[in-house]
Amino acid sequence: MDQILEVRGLDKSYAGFALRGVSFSLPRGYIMGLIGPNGAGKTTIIRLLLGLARPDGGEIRALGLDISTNGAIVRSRIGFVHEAPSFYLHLTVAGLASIVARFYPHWDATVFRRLASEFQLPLGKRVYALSRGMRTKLALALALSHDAELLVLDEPTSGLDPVFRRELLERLAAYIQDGNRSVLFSTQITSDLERVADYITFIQGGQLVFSTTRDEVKDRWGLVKGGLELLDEGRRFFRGIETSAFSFTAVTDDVEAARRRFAGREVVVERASLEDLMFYLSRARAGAATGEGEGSPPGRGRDS
Amino acid sequence: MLGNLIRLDLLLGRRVLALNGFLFTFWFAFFLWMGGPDVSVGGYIVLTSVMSVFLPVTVIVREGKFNAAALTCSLPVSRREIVRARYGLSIGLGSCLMVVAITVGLLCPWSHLAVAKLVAPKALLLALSMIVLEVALLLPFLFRFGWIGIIVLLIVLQLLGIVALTLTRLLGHGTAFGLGIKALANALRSLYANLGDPIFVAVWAAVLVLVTFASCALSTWLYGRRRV
Amino acid sequence: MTDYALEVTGLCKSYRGFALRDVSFRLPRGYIMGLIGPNGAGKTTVIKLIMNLVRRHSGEVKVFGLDNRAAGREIRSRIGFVYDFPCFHEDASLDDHRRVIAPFYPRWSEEAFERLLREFELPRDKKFKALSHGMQTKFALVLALSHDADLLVLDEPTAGLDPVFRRELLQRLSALLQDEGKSVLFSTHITTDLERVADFVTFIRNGEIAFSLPKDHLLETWGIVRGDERAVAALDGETRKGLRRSPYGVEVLTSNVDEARRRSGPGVVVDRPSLEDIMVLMTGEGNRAR
Repeated sequence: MDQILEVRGLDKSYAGFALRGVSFSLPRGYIMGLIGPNGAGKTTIIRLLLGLARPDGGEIRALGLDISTNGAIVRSRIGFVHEAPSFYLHLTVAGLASIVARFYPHWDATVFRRLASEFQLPLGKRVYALSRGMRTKLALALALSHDAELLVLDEPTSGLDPVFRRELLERLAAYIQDGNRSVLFSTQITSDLERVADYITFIQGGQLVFSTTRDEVKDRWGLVKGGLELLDEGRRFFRGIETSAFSFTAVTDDVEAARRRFAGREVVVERASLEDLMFYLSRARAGAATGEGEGSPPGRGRDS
Repeated sequence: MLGNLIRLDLLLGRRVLALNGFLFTFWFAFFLWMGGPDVSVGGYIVLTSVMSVFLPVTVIVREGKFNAAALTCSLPVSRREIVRARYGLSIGLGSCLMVVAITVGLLCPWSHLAVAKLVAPKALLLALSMIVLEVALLLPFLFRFGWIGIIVLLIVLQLLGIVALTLTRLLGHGTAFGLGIKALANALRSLYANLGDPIFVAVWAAVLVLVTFASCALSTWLYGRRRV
Repeated sequence: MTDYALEVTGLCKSYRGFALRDVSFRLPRGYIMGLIGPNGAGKTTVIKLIMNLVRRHSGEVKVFGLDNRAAGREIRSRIGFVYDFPCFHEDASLDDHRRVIAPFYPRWSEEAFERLLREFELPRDKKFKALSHGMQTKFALVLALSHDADLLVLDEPTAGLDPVFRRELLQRLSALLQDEGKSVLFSTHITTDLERVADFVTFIRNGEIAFSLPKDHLLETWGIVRGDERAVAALDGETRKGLRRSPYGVEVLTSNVDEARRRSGPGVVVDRPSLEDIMVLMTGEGNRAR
């Protein structure tokens, strides 16, 4: 399968934060959602992908090219949506488009006009007069008007009402229909991911927790709840553990194995929503005094 | 509550306060240097008062910049209390800076101001009067228009000044503007002169109190209607 | 005689190009109400009117039974607020804000403030402008939660915060209600959060209240009928609350699932709606141009 994006062993350190050994891939024709707590590294990854910062180690290949050597070419074929435009506010929609157009050799004004009309963006309206949702749509229209093969969005739905969000997600789904283009978007709203993402990459504390298909997350990841005395027996299955006075709740990446291991015992093994997974994995990390926390190394997705 | 409100403005605006305080002090000294022997005590006090009143103004307007007015107005205080506190703050801070101005006038080696005159009760009362009058004039604008109001007011005054100067130059000193400015200057001079008279001072104090209350009431009405 | 934390009656306010019309809803003490609506529908305006940041044109707002204008001071000493825009002084630190705000609240608790600052992992001496958006929101929450407020008025308190924090916050809010009889009004776009904790849901659309109902009732008696144009015709009437046409057919939102089943005949699929479904189906023309 043709990978539109390959990240391998990505390292990047800032004061007080470090991205370590992040690896994942995204094939053509699919949507990947990037989730993780605030400060986990999602925006850093996106910045590195766009060449806004240089990695300390590792490699990023997009559209078959190495970003560090072919950054400009890659960027001309990536559409980037990063929040709603908060600059050039005094320009009109058309004016802003003409500025953006200069950066992209494949800019197609007809496409932009069509999208603007579909999104109900009056060409003559000033950006400051647009609501937040409309600005996000404008950013999307701009990103879709230069024949980009990869769409990268950084929290595009934050602050938007569900109606807008759903529309946006439907647009993204339509975008990948041709099987050749892909979407990578980071978000905090897990229900959006569950609606539209084919792949899910979960970053926490600068490290990859998993990068795999949504189905696999549903089938293989889950929660294990039981009495404390059973904790030691299952440690090697657990990716994150939260304990209370008498019981524990742990996240496992192998629900089947956990079920077999604890068959007949007073243990509940159940599927978990993305949000549940994030919740317990984060809590467990915070309360790492249990000594276990993330015992096993970061998981690799099926497509690595 | 009033104390809490004043404390709020002072504490959150302390950086601006310190910066501008220093700046204005330098201006006072510079002004004395520029003016040389031509600066009279009365003139000095009037002009430094116009600067001094802007110290509290710079503190108050900061609220407008970050929607912080929403914070203050959401606290368990009434708009009337907010306005009153700011009048108190303005008169207080303005007066403090006048004390600084007078001190600068005393201590500056290049100051030609008569020391005895500068610390005479007349001079101090003039300083206070100017601050009170200016606060009464400025604050309603502030409360109605926010920091934009001050900008607008300054621009309007500048324009008026330019128009006045041009007209007097073109049409001679007999124009309304020229006369207006002269009248104003004369009024201030006679005020200064009369402040030596205790009866006048008593009456004048009552006038100032009335003016302040009237201005405060106006500001309360304006601020009460203001969308935050 | 029910005790209401908040009673809004016939609230009206006009701006240029937008008007709030006859907005009425009530929040009983000890419950959480979620306020939803598309961007620009009037949620923030309603909240500003409750807090008296803006003067109402007509109508009545009562908090704890008292008029919010006449008894504004007393009411606000018992309200914790979070707005969807930052309203703090950029150059001042969190600690500065605490020093300045605490004296206004008779029930301020230093201990609660410290604890929350720790739990939310906020640095007390950093300037407000140096904080990320999420941390700024968290700070507003800390302040709102530090003075034993009886009513929390929160405008988009969770935008930009990760699901983990959101869930913890919601748990915290629920605990406040159960243990201490507090009430919460919060507006949000993240409807899944509301599904988790809200007792009541009020939907504002174009400056008017579309509905204000108990959440459980809403999610149990409303439904989505999927079908074709015949379904649309069959369900026409007061109980048809919204519809949406797509290339795959029509979705009709009904406020009475039983009646819808009767009218549509057997074999019709009626699904439980999510809050998001309800919002989407009640917004827009039902005709999606592609």
